[in-house]
Amino acid sequence: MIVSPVCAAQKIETSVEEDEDSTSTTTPIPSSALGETTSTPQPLVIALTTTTTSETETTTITTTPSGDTAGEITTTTTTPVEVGETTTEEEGEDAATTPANQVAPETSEIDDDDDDDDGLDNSTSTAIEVTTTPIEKPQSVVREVTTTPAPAPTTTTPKPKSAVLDAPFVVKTKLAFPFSSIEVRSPTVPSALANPIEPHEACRVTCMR
Amino acid sequence: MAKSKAILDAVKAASGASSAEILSTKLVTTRRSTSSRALLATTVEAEIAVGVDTAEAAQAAAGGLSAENLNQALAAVGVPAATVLVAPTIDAASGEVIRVTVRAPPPLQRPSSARRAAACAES
Repeated sequence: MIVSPVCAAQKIETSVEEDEDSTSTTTPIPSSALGETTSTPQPLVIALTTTTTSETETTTITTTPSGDTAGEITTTTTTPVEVGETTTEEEGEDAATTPANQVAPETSEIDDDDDDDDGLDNSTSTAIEVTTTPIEKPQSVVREVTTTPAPAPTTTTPKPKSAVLDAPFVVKTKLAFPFSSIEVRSPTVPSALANPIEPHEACRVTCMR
Repeated sequence: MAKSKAILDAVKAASGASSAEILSTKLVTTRRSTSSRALLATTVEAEIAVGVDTAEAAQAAAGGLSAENLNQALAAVGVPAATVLVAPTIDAASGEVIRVTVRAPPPLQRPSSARRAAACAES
């Protein structure tokens, strides 16, 4: 049993009975004590566990990190079995009592065997290698779409149908007329010529003078 | 072309057809004499077609479009005499071309010479 100075200040007592029917009692660590251990660079022994009968299964797992022999992690797990008895702490001021049909909390103890005296906890670092396989993205498929533009609507001016050329028989000839027979017409008669402007009144008076 | 309606009426009257059409016109300027400098004559060439229903009517129209008949008809509507450049041809709808033999048109009488001849006759 190793008692750290921190935990020594905390008064923790454990009763051990010689009776075969006695059960193990695990005293939970107060959170205040845990807080102190993180701040004090001392070897950590946090909990005290005593197993006396077969009713309590105690599993101790010791894990040694690869490449670091100094850091040895010992994990002890105690699983209490329901016992229909009540263990009463008879001695001491802070006797712990576990009522019947109550499951005591599980306690995990981490024993840090740090050999160096630097006061730093250098054994708890565990490197976890996570290999992530990237999910292959679906390849985007480029589709070449060839669009043929619609042909522009062709505007065809309907040719006036000639009744002469559609006749069953067409007689054609070519004549020459002298140019003097051509009468030149202006397409439209200017409105000014059609309706001559009346002279202004003042101009008319001036002309009369 | 001026007086186109009058010309078409004359063509209809000469050919006996009910429909006539001027297909194309062209203004042509020719030099009457190579020795003269500025004596230019300008004529209007017109391609005229008439449509008939039967081959007999086509033959009659081709014969009526002779220069003599045509000029008489033109004179009746007040149009100066014309010269037949291309003899009438008959185009059938089936593609068959019927040649029509007509008399050669008389030479075009120039108005000035006609007037001069008339003046001489009067004198």
